[in-house]
Amino acid sequence: MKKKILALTLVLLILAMAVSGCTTAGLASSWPGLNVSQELAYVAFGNYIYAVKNSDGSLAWRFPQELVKETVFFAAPAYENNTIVAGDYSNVLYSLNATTGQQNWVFKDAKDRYIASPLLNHGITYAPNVDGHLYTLDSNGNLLWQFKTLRPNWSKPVTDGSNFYFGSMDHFVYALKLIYSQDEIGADEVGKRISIQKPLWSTDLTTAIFADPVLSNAKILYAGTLGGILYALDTQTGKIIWTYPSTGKLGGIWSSPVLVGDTVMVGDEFGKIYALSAATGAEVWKTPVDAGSPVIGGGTEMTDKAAFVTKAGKFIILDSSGSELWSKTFTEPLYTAPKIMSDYIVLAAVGKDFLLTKFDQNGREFWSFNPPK
Amino acid sequence: MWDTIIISPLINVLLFIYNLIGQNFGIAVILFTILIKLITHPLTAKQIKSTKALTDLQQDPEWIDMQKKYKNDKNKLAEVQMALYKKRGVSPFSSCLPTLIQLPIIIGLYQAIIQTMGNAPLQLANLVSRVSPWLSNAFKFIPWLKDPITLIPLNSQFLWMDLGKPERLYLPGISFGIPVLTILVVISSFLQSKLMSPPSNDPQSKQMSGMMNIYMPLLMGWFAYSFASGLALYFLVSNVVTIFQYWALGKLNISNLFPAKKIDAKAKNDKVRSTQIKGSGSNLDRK
Repeated sequence: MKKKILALTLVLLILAMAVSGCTTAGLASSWPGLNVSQELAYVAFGNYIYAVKNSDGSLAWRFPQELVKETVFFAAPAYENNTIVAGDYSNVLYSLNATTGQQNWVFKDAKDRYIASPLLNHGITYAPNVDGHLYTLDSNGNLLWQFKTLRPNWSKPVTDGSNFYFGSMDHFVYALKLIYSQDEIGADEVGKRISIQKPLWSTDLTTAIFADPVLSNAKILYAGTLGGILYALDTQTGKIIWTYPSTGKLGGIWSSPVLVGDTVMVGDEFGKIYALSAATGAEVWKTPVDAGSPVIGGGTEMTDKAAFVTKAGKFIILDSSGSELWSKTFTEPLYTAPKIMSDYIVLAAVGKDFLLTKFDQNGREFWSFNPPK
Repeated sequence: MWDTIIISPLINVLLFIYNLIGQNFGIAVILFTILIKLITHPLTAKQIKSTKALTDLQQDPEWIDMQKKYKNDKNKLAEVQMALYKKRGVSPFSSCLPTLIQLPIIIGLYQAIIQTMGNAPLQLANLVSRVSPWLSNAFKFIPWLKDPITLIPLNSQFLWMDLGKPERLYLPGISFGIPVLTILVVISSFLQSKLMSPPSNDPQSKQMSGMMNIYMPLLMGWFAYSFASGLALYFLVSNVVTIFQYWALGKLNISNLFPAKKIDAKAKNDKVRSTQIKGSGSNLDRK
């Protein structure tokens, strides 16, 4: 009888473990968020934000210093004037001293996670949140106003100096002013005067927008959608200038388009990278570059060139003609767009080999960083 | 292989239902669970029938007598047991086979619901890679059906719940959230275990089923409390539908719920048994 009870208990335990294993609780649910300054690389992953020295890859500081289980970071920290701002998965937005990691302020009014990186502009923070709001905070972390969208917000806003633009899961791209006067701020659902009721414009792109839009010098906004269409929008009116492709669709666009001179490059979920005329949307390359696996993290501009990363761990540098100049395949999946740090490339990876690595354009590795246990 | 054959089709069926009913994920989970239960009902019915035949056989006087007679000779006992199975046309494994066939579907259903509720970047990337328009294309004549990719991320709000998160009901004047769904899952799991336990005179079996009646509801309650409420909703609907299936097949043991009735039933069973023994004598003795 005792054997039977033991067997029953074991079966139930195995069942519990199997069911727990099928859920995503406790597992990494996103990829590292990366940003760089001249001296430090900031990587948000798991329970900490790590500041890593550009010079030798050693840890300058981490935040928080001691483990807080509920605090989980994945959104890339925003950087401006020795300040970084980063949101976590427990609905808290932190402002930190970028050199020391000391906390400046926290904002706890959001009702859901921060997946998007915030925009920092002259000390003001514009933070999209999964609760369907974009929160605007002054340099002390006080709420100035908020803007409500219909669904969660995962895309980082981009600014042209007077307005800012961001995409939402509700399929719309929104344009708002950087500064609103008190008269322009209306009441929210409970009557508090903190709400911007109407954007400058909003344009329906028909499917969810995950990727951060980018802005050209010609004030054209480029936004890719999950439905696999790249849109070019007039920032003055929100009108669609062109779409690519004009018929059919690409794989889902998860990453920001990359502007290289007059060309806009974009990678898709099917692992193809396309180059288009930034002005007209005409194809610059006759055939897209096959990156071999989904381009989720996207790319970055490298003076007449662009670097992309793929899910299968491939880092690839393409010139303006679409030729592969150099590539390296890592054992880790690469979901985070690379950053350029004083002519060097910094990569963040999801995996065991490294969290962060720095190498030059010839592939010479300088350092790798793994978080201390 | 598993993903291609089981998970992806189930995810697409779930998305199709969500699309069809106007994008309410709670209703979609309920309908999806009922649909899968209906499809697997013939297997469930076969399993219930086989289990019943096996239980009846194990309460047969001939069976009980052979247990006593050969309690010290396991080999002989196995031999005569097999002979009795054969004689009565009952296969000891017949109740396992339908369960084994259903198991991948149940696990797949569970995983499909979990993955469809994904609301973090890696989960959503995984979900998007599985979405296919084949079902929507096949039902193009339904005017309100949308391209499934436009539905992502799914709207996980249902009643007071966010189905992507553990459920709590916050009422005015109460400082903590009440886990309503967890309570319902515990109650329905308890009822399901109780009502489905076959009557048994074997004290070991009784003790085992008594433990299961406590362990399983607690385990399910813990899952419902800790994990996304979409999963708890699935547990609840699944329990209710399973109870209904047993009721429809006339196999619910209501007597398990009411001790007084249970005693009556036991007395009735004992009476029937003694009548059978008197009437037929021991077949084994005759052999």
